[in-house]
Amino acid sequence: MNLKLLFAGSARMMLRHKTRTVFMAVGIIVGVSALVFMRAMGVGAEQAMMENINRTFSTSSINVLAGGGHMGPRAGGPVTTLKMEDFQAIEAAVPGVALWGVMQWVPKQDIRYQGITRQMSIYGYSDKPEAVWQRGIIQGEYFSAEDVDSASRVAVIGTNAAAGLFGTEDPIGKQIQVGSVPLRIVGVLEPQGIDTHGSDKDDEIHVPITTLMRRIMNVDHVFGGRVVLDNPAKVEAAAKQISALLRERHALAEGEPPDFVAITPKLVQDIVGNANRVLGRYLPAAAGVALLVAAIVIANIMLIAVKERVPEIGIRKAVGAENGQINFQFLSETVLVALTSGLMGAALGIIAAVSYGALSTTPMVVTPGAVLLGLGAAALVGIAAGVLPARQAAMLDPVAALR
Amino acid sequence: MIRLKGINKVYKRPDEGPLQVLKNVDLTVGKGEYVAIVGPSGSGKSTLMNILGLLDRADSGDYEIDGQSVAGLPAGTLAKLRNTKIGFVFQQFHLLPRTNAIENVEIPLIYSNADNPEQRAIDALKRVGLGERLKHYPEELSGGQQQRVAIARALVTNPELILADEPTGNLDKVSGEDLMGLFDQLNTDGRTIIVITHDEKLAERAKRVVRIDNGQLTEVRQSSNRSGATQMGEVA
Ligand SMILES: Nc1ncnc2c1ncn2[C@@H]1O[C@H](COP(=O)(O)OP(=O)(O)OP(=O)(O)O)[C@@H](O)[C@H]1O
Ligand SMILES: [Mg+2]
Repeated sequence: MNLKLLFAGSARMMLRHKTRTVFMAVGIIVGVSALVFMRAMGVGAEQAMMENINRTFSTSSINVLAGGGHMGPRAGGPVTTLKMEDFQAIEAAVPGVALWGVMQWVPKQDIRYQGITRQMSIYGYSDKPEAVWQRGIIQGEYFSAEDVDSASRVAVIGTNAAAGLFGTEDPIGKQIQVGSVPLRIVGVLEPQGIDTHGSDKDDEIHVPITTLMRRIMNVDHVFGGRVVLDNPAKVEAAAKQISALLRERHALAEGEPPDFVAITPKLVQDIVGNANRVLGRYLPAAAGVALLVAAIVIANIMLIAVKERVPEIGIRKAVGAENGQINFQFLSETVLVALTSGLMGAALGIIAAVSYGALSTTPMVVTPGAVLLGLGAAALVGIAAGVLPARQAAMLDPVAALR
Repeated sequence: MIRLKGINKVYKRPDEGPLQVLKNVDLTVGKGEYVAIVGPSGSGKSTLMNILGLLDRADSGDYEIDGQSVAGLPAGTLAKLRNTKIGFVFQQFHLLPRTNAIENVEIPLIYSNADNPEQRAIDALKRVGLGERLKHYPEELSGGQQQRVAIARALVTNPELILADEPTGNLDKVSGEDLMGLFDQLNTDGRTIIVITHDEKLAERAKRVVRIDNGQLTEVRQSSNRSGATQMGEVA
């Protein structure tokens, strides 16, 4: 069989029946471009989320939170058993601890400045917060270790919070009021946008944890803390040691559920990865429907085409085409249309994804995998749609076909 | 090169009873012969042609081509034999529309492994006198020219046997005579030709004439004596 001639003939066939070809192509172009576009959106979202996670949970740190469950509010009030002393004990007992810090927070407090009142969350951190929590200062400075020791009345403020309270005025040195506690602004936080829970990280203030616990909240427990190790390889082992140590310090009996949780980066990535995988299944399902419709349309058009081309098939058989060759020829025609449309769809999807990424804030990441997936899907559609018509063509009786 | 012995063909019809179209047909055609098959409409000529051309199988009887019995051969082998040994010419030309002369003539070469298909197609078209019309579409050619393209397509694999079913049926007088001249030429070159025809003139030019009546084959004339044509008055 001369494949070059055969494919040249198929290409002619496509060009000659332009309307038919366009009808066959449209579904695949839509399906594949949607697939590539949505995949780019999915991968973009996943990468953005992973970046976010890696920023908040650097690969060598463990977040220890009070309560056995999640980071959100709990039924039955806060768990009060996690203390700053627990972290001092961790530093002493667990090898490889480079840094640690503790954190407490209180949501939606009325913050007043002159006539203005604005609700925002207050976070308290122990010393070296920039190193432990990976968030810097763009103006002024963070509070110091002495501020933490002496529960100083100082705060650093997010950019949106500052704009809300002070407008265009310089925030540094401004005196704000939380209840009866006055706080002096010493720095402005690096902008961080919206976090994974949907809260605005630029509309909050940070104060020394001692200030928050003693002067504002009047509690002696922390919400959680972060232990940073000198080597990411030590994380899993350290997490086990931390768990054992805290169980002992909190006098938990064997089998009793923990009143804390130690979150490692791996755990977070597993959870988020899972969520994304579910997401990644629904997005292409929509494209899958488009491709299924395309397959049905193509199969029908090809069935009609086979009927129209009965004399042609008769001739081909008369001049020596075997059934298998006719079958292959018709199948390859469909696959050729499908693959060409797939390429066009992929190109369209890439262009759409890149333009959308450039024109909006949505992160879009086109991967070779997505393009290959699109082309594979197109080829599959071509094959699925072509099998039946090709078979019909191959089974035609040449005598009847030529009558 | 062809030997039919006791060929029977019965069509089963759902409404009426079975119809025996060929009855115990014997026919031997040697290499280089030029045979016309004549007979009234519905007598079984095309049926015989389809069997000779390996497009259809007889219900019983022997068919040997170049000494090989074809009865038990698988469909793939029959297709290969059609590709290499037989060239078909039809009344309706059966060219692919909007496909130029070269591309039409190349079709049999899609299914063979011949090298240089384009050159072969061009050579075949030159042989039938269409060297100037290589890139023309069927729609741009006269009936006679279209039939020549079809003959070029039949010749392109260089088969020994040309089977033609009423090749002049759709041609005007002049084109028909052109085509007869071409057939004479092909036969002179050594090709075996079997042609079904209602056309008295075409039958006249054949070296031998057989007649089918109601499925039975009889020899009419077996020489190049062209005066024998008078026996065919009733055919035309
Ligand atoms: N597939 C079929 N099923 C049933 N009957 C058929 C079939 N093919 C042909 N016949 C019948 O067989 C008979 C012979 O047909 P055939 O086509 O061989 O005749 P023919 O001699 O070529 O006629 P014409 O000169 O009109 O072309 C006709 O009566 C025709 O109706
Ligand atoms: Mg006939």
